[in-house]
Amino acid sequence: MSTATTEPPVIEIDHLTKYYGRREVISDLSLQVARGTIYGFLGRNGMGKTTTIRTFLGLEDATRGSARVFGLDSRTLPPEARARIGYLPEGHHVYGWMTVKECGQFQASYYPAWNQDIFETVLTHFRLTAKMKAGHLSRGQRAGLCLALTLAPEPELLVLDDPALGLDPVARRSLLQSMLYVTRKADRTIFFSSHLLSDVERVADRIAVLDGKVLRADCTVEKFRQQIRHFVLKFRDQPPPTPNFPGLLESFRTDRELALTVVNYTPQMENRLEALQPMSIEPVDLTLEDAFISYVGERGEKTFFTNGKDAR
Amino acid sequence: MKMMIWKELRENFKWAVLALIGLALAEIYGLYYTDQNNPNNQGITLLNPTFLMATSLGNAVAGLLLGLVQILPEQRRDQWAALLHRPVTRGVIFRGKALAGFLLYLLAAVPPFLFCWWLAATPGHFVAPYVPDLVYAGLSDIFIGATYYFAALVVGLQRGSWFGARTFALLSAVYLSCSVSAVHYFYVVTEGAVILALILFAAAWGAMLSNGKFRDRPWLTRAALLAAVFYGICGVGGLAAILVNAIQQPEPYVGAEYKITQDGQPIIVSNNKDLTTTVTDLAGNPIHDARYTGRLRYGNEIFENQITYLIGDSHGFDPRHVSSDYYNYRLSYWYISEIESYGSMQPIQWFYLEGPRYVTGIDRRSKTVTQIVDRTGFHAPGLPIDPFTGERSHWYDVPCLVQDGNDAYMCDLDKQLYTKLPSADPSPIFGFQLFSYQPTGGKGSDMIIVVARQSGLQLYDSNGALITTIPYDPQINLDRWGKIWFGLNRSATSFYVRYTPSSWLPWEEQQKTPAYLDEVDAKGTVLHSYTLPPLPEPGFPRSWQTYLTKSLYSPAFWFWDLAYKKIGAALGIPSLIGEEHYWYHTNWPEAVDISTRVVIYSLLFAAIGLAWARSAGMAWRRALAWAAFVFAFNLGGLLTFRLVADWPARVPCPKCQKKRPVEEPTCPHCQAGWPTPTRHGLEIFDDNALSPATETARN
Repeated sequence: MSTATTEPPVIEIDHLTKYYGRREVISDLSLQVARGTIYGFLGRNGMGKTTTIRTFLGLEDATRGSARVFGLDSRTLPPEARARIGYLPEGHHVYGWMTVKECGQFQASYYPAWNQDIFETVLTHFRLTAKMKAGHLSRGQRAGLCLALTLAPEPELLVLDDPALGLDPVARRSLLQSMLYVTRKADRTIFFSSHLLSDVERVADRIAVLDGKVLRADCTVEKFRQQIRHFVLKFRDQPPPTPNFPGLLESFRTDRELALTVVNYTPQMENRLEALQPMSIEPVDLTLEDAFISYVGERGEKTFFTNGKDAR
Repeated sequence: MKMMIWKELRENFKWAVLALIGLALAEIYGLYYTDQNNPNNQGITLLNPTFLMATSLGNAVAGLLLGLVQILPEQRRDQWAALLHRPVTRGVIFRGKALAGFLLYLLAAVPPFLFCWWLAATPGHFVAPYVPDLVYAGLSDIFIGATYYFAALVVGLQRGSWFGARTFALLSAVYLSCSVSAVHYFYVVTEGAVILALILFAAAWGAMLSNGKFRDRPWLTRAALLAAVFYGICGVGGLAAILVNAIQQPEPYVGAEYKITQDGQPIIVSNNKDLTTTVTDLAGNPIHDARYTGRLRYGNEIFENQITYLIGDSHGFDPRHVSSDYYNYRLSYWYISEIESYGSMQPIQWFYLEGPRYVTGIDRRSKTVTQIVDRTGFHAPGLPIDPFTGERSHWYDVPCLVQDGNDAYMCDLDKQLYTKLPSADPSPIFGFQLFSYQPTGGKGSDMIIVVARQSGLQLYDSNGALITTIPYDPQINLDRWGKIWFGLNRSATSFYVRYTPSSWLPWEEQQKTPAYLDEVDAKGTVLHSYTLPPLPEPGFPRSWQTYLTKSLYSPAFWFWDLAYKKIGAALGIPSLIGEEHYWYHTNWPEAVDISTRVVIYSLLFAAIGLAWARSAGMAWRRALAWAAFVFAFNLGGLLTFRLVADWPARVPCPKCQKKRPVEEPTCPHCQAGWPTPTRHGLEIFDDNALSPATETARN
């Protein structure tokens, strides 16, 4: 899907800052989501992903900054705009006392563009029947029901907050397939947060990474993977101390090897590595998950040696 | 909204049914509960105190819990977010919830009350009559319970501290409950409950419409929240004052009164501030007679009782207004007087019905009406009832006296006798009383019936035979000294008639006017006459609580009240003419004193409010608006401001290190903006990214 478009963005977040009391949870976040994009919103727990989503949906107020959806101020989103947004909050909440059918009827009453076929298709995908009590569903089934309720109004913008949380691989795969079902129309936009990087890698066009309350990355999945490089340097003897240079994310030392992960790789970095005089330098391809973990994980050197100190 | 109502009804129906069962059990228990130690005067059926405890407490708890279970479980972040994201306005969601919740509250509260109403209103269930007025208290409790429901919505929907606006909104409902016992009329309580329910409804609506901020709400809902919290604060203040008064020693009554000794001498008994009692004669000479200073002094005095308020022209004075000051719609004896049977457990229990004005006798076994007494006498139920037309003596009196036009009747319920007191004098009756005495040489006691007519006092024996007629003192102007007190010595050989200023005279004039006392014999001959000079006005102690409370009056309410009385008096509204006279003439110095203190205290608190507002970074205009609010409502306004206003978090400014509000783009001290987040060079942005870093690069 193309991300280059002249259309106004579906979601615009402008210098968003959010405090809870005196604790700053999001700092000066600016982000644009173009129409037709599948956007993965990544970050460790507590980095402000859910708060960001709630804020641009107008469910919470920004402390500073603003957000717009479909060009409308988030704080005053009218019902007509909300009808164009499918929102699946984390937790997959359903009213337990309703049957699956009643859940659909309740939801359908709010959406003029409700598509019963989509609803039933997703239910079938998750092996749900109309008479099942929502409170008796398994976690995966509940997620399926929630997804059906979210997809059936055929939203132009689908916002999913950690939709695969707690699901087994089969349910996750079903969820992804259903999610992609909605994007069969080119102008549909999906914005979703997730900790499951393999899912993100499978479906997302772009990702944004929140780390330490600040947006650290906003790019295509390919770009993200390209910018984070992993090298294994082999030595005859014990490797020398890890050099300190800009862009170094982490290093891992063993008795003959030094593994380095760097970001925003440049030819100057290669010179720095060669200056260590290794026997060989082997570049290793990283998955998105590996890249992400290196990117948002603990910085610095890791080793198998006692207390992380050089054995020499 | 229809689906929202359906969802709320289905979701919370079980709680309403649970509340219904609980209320039904409590109310039925309360209806049938009788205090075995005090079987009489416990209130009639629907006004039984235990029943009222069930309705007042039960409906409040039911309303509160139904509101909380409707909101709080759904307030988990994801559930609430899913609810709010529906493509309808938040107003629709709120109205759906509130309407459904209110219906569920009615479902819980009304059927148990209707069932109890049916029990009380149909014969065969209670040894008690039924009049429609009995339902008022229970109905008002249902209305008040509704305020708890809406208060619960505020508690659930309002963001912020539990001990802030949400708790005080709930306390406003608690305050209304506590005020009920002091309010006289059903309609006043109903009005109060409806108004508070609407205020809380609007406050909850505002909480729903905003994401927590006070200033983002519509002005009406802001005003509602302010009103609810202010009322709650007043309630806490009022309860605190009651508690302080309760733990303090009461101030002694200071004042003087006339008494008559058994020797027939009028004396002045003064209660002093130091708790001592001083006895003097009319000239002010001390009397050192232990009979009149000790605890047994009442046994040595002539017992007097007021018979009339006035004689002749009423000058517009209605004696019923005197007693109506004590009217309370929650007390059954204003509707039904349970006639004392002195524990004899007669087969028939008698009741006087105040509204229809007749006596009904209910058989204790069958619990049905078996006898009626009206102005035609005793008869079986089912016949037309001819209600009493005049006044009556206390129904505890045996026999009771009943007035019918210019005739007086003696009604003995035990003997089932209804006898006209013979009189050749057809002049109007202005009052009557029973007086007990000890017959000379006899055992036990006998009684004398005194009927005050226009022309004099008629004395009858206990059989209704006329003993004598005592004419009024011809030297006394009965129009002005028509409030007559009567007493007799133990052997009923001397009678004492005290002429005091008529009740139609203004209170201040009554206090400054002398009274007259005649001692007369059984033939009506005046044996002694005394002039009783006016006594010093009783002093009412001033406490620091009263002083403080009056200083903390809201200027808005205080000055409006003064203006209201002035306008009302100018328009000729009778009840306000006296009030206006009291504050603008009799008590003008106190009015000025209170006004001055109220303004000074309010200004002080307004200054504190302004300082708080500015230190929190509020703009001058908003800070001044809050200061004006605080000035209008005194300390209560200041506390309301503290609890309701948006208080932004403040953090040290990265540039000047002074605290600045996180919401403002620039520091109020050094005008610096917020720094952009530190970049550590590891960011990954492509050409389509919009980040401060890329923005800078593009620029």
